[in-house]
Amino acid sequence: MPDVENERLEIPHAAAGPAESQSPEAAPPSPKPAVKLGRSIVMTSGKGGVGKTTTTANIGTALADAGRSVVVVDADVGLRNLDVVLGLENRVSKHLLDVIEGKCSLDEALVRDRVRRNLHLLPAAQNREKDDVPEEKMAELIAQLRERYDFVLIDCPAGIEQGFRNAVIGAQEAVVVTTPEVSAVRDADRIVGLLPQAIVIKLVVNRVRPAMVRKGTMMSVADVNAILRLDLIGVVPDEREIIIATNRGTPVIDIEGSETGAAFRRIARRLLGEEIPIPAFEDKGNFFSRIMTTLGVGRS
Amino acid sequence: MQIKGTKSGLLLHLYERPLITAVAELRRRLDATPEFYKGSRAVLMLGSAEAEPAELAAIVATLEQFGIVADGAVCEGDVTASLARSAGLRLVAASVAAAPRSKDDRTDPSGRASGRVKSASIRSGHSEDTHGESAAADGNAYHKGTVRSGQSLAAAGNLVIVGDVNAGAELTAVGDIVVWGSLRGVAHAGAQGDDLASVYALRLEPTQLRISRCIASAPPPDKRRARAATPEIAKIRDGKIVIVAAEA
Amino acid sequence: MTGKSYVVTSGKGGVGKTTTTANVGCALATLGKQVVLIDADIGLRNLDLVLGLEKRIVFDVVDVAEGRCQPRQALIRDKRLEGLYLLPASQTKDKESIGEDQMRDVVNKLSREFDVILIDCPAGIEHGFRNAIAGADEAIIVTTPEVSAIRDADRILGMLGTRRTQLIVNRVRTEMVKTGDMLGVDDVAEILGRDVLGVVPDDEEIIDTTNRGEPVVLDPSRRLSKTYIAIARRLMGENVPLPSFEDDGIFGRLRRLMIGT
Repeated sequence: MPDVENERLEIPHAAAGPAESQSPEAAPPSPKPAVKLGRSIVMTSGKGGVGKTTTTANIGTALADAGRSVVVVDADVGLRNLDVVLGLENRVSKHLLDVIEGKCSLDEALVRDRVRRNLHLLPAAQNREKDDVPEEKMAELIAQLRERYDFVLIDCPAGIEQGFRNAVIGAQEAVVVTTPEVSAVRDADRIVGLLPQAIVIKLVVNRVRPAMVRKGTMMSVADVNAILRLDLIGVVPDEREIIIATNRGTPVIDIEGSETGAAFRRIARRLLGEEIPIPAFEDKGNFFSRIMTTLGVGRS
Repeated sequence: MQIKGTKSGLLLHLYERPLITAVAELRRRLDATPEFYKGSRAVLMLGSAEAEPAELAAIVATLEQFGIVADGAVCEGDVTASLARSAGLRLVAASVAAAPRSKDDRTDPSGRASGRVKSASIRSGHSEDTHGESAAADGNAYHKGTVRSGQSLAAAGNLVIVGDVNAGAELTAVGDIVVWGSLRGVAHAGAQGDDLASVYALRLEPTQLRISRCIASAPPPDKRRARAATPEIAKIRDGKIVIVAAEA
Repeated sequence: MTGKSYVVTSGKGGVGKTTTTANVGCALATLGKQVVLIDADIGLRNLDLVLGLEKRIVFDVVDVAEGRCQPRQALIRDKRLEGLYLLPASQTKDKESIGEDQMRDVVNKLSREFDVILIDCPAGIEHGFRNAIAGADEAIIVTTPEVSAIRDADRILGMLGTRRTQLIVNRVRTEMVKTGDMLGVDDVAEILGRDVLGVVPDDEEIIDTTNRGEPVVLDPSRRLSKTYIAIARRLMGENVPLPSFEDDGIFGRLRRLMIGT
């Protein structure tokens, strides 16, 4: 290679290129909104059973504990579960579809959490089908919710069909949840390819079993993200406490000493803009050894 | 007759015969939302069975009435291929970009009319993903960003990807395929019968490779690990696909 | 010969439909049956991965449905097991690419050549689910002993019509059943009101074998291998007793929850 000084080349047509080459001042100022809108985040995965609903419930609860107003929306029409995970199934009377169809007001359908006053649930209908919900109505509803809450977390159903599209339509951000398994990562990748361009995507790797990773019988988080290439916002270890918590309708973050619960709390804090490194998990009894990855997270 | 919306335009399934019977159904469907598709391009899937040039001309004319430009055809066999050519449609390889609709397509179908492959902007260190079809006059296509599982890209010339191609993704090119990243999906170079086409990748770890009419699946992972550390080229030698290390 | 077709479904995702389809299919083949497994999860295919056959996919079920190839051309013969075939799904298309009639057609054609057809159903109750059940004579519902899964299975039961339906209870953790932290098999069966075809204990081995595309049944030394063979036997009508788990019964909330729903 010849020695070349770093000279600037004269480019004949200094045309304004694609958006990223424009200086920030060139963009027109956006009108100041009258109300500060909350963040709408869809929790999605593609594959079922990787922990979307548990993640939604726990992150929602943790955000509420951090003082934010949160609504968790169960977008799984026909197969609702968010109410059970939060222990609120006995308090559900009206649901999302009733609101959209004008059969009741939003306030009549919202269920307040038993413990956290600033955490509300908008339940899904059990006896209807996903085709019953028109996309535009869903988008309107989410927009309405953003005016009332700091955070709107949308629990997305498994799959890539209309249920998925409905859940995504109002969201500005997405948290893709996967487990460190080949099928789950494949499905997560598919989902990423289907999310609209403008959505900001983050990744949570759930159900990590450090002992198996060490034995080489499970993918590591690095293996997962070598494929997905997303902003990692959390790693959640697998624990039997999760099953017990779910069956009891208690969020796992409320279980003393739960590593899983602690991980969800950290995810909530990262969503709020804190930079917390991801711990490398050891078996119970050892302390964490921190790894180099520091997460930069967008503004809250 | 089926109409599918994709990110780069419309895909029309036209397998029924006589083909003329599809015209009425096509018109009926387009009449339902006459302005919606204006400015879009359409690729016609013609299958393998014979049809009259006049029937195909009627389909193209119907599309034109709704502002849709038919500019490509997927054909299985010479019969429909020559039919398509006589109608001035360029041939597109079988795995056409058939990405399912996202909400973006609803809001701006005419934005895709030029057929330009949207080049990605880099956000927060990660490439944006797009789907698309070849646009340049010579049929070459260039794509920046990870090609995700379930996405497919096609080029009537050569196809260059700067980024990874994940398992479950499909690449098809009439010419060569170059992946400046990890190729984990399926790649088909020389898709219309060019035995001299090649597949290049920084890390060649495909699920399956196809060159012209040859198909090969990759050897099991434990055997490949050592090899995929360097850039490699797949080509046909003595009627079989072989992988050679790229020269330094 | 007219083979029988079973849809392997659940409602809830992630309870083990695909793993079950793969392993029960392998088990049936080791018993000498001609088996074809159909992946109906178009756009999110995984059965090929779990079987370790992904590298050999050329045509898929959508190609067959659209007449682009004959069913035989799309079938992938498992080289490890005599009599086991896979009809894969497409990854680049979506569930709207195929219709119920087309699925029925495909299954009918295959039933002339195979003893057993297992259809791996996608999660949920949307288009993909309806396609998958369209071609099925009978149903196998896979559930775990967890509230959410049972609830979804219950919902599914209502959509299966008059088809004979049997249960496979997956990922049972005996110690947790004993301490009352998990429902027992009998409770699950009672709530859903169906016969139990099989009980599969929770086992770490499944994750590894699934990742590597080597169904557990292929290795007789693996613990779960016997479990799936027993399930295959029962499916074929043999009277194989279910393993006995000592349940201490369930405490208040779980029971009330289920029966009160």
